[in-house]
Amino acid sequence: MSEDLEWVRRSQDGDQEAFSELVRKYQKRVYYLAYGMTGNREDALDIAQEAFLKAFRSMKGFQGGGGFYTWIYRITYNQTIDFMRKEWRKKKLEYQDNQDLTEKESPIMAVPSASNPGQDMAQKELNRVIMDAVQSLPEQHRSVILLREIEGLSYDEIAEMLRIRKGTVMSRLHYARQELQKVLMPYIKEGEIREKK
Amino acid sequence: MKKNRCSKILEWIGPYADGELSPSRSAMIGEHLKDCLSCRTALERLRQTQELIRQGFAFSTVEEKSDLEALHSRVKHGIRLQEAESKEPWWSGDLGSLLFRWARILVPSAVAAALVAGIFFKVYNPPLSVIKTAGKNECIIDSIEGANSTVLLFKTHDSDMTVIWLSVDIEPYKDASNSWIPYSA
Amino acid sequence: MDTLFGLKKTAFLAMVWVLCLVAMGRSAGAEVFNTEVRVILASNSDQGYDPRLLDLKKDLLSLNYMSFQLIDQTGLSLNRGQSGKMPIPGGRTMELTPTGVEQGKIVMQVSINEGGSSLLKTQIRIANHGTVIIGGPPYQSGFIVLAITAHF
Repeated sequence: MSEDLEWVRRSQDGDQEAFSELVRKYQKRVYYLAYGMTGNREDALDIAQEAFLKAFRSMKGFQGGGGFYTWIYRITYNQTIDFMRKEWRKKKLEYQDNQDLTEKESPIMAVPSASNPGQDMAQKELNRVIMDAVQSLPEQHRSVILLREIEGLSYDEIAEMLRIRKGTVMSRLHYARQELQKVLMPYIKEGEIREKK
Repeated sequence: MKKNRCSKILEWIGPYADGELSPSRSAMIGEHLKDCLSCRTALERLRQTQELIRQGFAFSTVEEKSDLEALHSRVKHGIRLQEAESKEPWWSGDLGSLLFRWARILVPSAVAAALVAGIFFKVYNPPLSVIKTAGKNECIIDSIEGANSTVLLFKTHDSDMTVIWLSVDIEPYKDASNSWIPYSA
Repeated sequence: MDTLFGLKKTAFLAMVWVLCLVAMGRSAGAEVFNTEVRVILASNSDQGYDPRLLDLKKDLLSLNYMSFQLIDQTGLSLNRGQSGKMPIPGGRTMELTPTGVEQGKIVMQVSINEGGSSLLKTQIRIANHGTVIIGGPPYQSGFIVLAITAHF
């Protein structure tokens, strides 16, 4: 965390290399947040890029209070919401409808190194179910579940980032998990549960 | 009476799994779980759901790596452009910055052109040439169809050989929607 | 000498023309397509890698199965538009139909059928002497992988 502060201070003095370090450290999490919200890799790249550029532009105004990562998450989150509300997004979706696979995943890919095609296909099928389930959640619930399960933020951090009460975080998380569990029930291994009796 | 207690416990099961409860409340729930199979089942389901969500977001390393590399260089490039913009008013550039400004106009134009081209490609491209690999084993897939199977298209690392892989029966993830996924570029 | 040389030159040019025409005719109007289908069993058994598949080693190993065994090999000489059928282990059949040559590539329809239903029907264009792999139908404790190579 102290290295963050140092990089933030140097970035505020216009040191691009220091900012580049911050990007390197947080880009994965920023990207995953945007990807989780939009369900689209290209959109996620655009959003993540714009979020970092916005952060760089606003660096001088950053007080450093809540930590850089909370700040960059908030920027990313707002950026994602802006993006999703734009009209052209809907238009784009219209012609994506019939080509979910080609848009979200390149239809041809290098053979994965750790699994064979059969396993990979089953996993991809499952990933698609999970992504669809997350995408079908209302925006407010989706953001909470992503920040908790994918980004691993604490309830306090989520509350601070989304500017909501901790109790609201808990209830949204509870609802989102219930909804996801309903969809994912066929993939939950009851056998494992019973064995632990 | 027990049912009532369980419903209270279940309200806290999420924060319990997340380690967000006070030590005393956490200990109390831990005690209850020891004796209650249905609450333990609920906790295990929650944990598996969490695990599945995380799995769902795990890209293949190849995809993640290339996306993050692209992101890093795009941010770097963007910052350079922003900086140049703020330092150099348009009337005060030498030849270098003039060229740079051209790049600034040209790059977004190229991107816009590419986007338009992309859209036209997507809309007007007939369902042909789904896949194309190059080299000795160059292969173009014009069309692909079938029933009761899912198809993955790969290319191998070294020789770019095209692999059409069909899964006739996917267990344990088989469901009604797992019929045929059409490819159209 | 000049005349002789001139004659030689004309004869040479004529020969080049003939060769060009033959080559063009051959690529544009190829009528016979030789296809070779290798039926391979990919599995995680301990049988290892079949040495008869050495030319495909890198490609097959990247599919991440532990064992690859050649279980059948069939050569089909097919005319343009002619279909060749061959059985695939597991009660399935594969049908290959070369339909012509386009920009130097062989246009071929491949279908795999099981019982009355079609598992796969695809049209591909492969380079002359190129190979494409079709895999996935389960068989015994593994999967059938077909390596199709074609030339004209």
